[in-house]
Amino acid sequence: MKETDYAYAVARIRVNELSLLTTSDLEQLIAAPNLQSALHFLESKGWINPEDKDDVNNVLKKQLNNTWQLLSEISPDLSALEFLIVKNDFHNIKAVLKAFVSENAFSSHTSGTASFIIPSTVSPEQIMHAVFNKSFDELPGFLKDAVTETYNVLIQTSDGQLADIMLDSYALNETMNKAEKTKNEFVIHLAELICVTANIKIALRSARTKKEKQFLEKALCRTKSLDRAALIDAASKSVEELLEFLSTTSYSEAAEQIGISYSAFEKWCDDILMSHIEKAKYKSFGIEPLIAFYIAKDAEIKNVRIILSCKHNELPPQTIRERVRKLYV
Amino acid sequence: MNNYGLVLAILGAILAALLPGIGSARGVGMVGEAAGGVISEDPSKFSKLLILQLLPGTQGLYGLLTAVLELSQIGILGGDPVELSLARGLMYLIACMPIAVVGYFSAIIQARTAVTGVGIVAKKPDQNGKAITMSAMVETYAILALLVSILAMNSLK
Repeated sequence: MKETDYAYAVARIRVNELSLLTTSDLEQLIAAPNLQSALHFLESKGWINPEDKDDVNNVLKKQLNNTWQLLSEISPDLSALEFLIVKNDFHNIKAVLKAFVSENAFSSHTSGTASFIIPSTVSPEQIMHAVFNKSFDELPGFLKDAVTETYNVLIQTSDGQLADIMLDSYALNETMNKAEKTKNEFVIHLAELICVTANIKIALRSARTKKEKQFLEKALCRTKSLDRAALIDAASKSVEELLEFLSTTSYSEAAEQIGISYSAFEKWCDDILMSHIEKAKYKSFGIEPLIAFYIAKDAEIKNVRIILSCKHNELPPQTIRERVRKLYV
Repeated sequence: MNNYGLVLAILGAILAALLPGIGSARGVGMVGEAAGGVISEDPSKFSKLLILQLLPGTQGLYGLLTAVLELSQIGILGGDPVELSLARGLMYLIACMPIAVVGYFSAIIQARTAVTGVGIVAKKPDQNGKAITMSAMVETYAILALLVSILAMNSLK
């Protein structure tokens, strides 16, 4: 696909970027005296409808799906964007497998949809049908292997955590595979950042809960810019060893943020992605602005969720500001 | 041998019309695609975007002008072709080259600049003058090429 083939899509994205919340919008949202005022502000920005005020979670879900629908409509090659949502397929597999193993089968195709995340490359119903009928061949190759292996592990061991980490690892590796297929440096670097930050999160959690090397071998995905073997080695020893190792890599800032707090580290993980996609702001052609818009929308939704949750818990504005992620616009 | 000179001169006229024409068609199409993206979301920006879409179209006109001028000089338009030596025919062909080559490339490059301008209009419609000016800067080189082609042809009269 040539860069100029994206001229129409990029132009539509530029118009849609106008609807993203700005820093001053977020500041007003943070300054809202209570949750109701914050919801009222979002309503005035056209972000939510008055009738959806009681179901904000659903609104947040819909927002991202609507963004994907827009990208599906305008992108000349949707497969190049799939690396952004492939993790949702693996989440949906988790939901279906757990329901299947716990014999808490979905009574209808709609009753279990609350556990699913959309957008996804394969519909949750298709996954559900494949798992419940044990017809894994119905699924695309990259999902088939993951479902078959995890299904066997769950049946044999009933170890939900092991199944989860296996699927998380599959998801990250598939994110990388799909990104590499695009042969676009921007996309590959973005996927690398997604995988590296996920690996650091898993390694940190594992170090804190004193997991063994074997667990980390299964959980961490391959990355180029962060030595996987060294990360496993450090995380299997202690949190201090992990931080010391990270401080010697190009991700030394992660170690500093972990030192501050876990939420500061999580914010850093999101901000590093945002810093990368900022390059797309000034591109008139190519897939980059489409990817950037999706990530920007995702960050916006995350910010709104954080602010509303803080408002619900009546946290002071300064605490909210510390948690709010960097914006694209 | 005289016929070969005429063939070369006609080839020059054809290239002068053909290459910038192709460049302009590609350029106008490219900007049109981008403008369509904006208009589908905000139809009120049509008039501002139309100017940007038209800009890469001028190279095609310059090519046409050069071709008509040359065909007129060698008598093809009047139905009475003049006799041209091979060297003179080659000179006509070479005289057409500046607008043929520069016209083609400048149309496409101008279109890319205009698409950037479409992005500016999409986000800040009040800045459309700047978007047009930036894209129009590329036009300078198409005009210079046209000037050289016309001066060269006039010297062959």
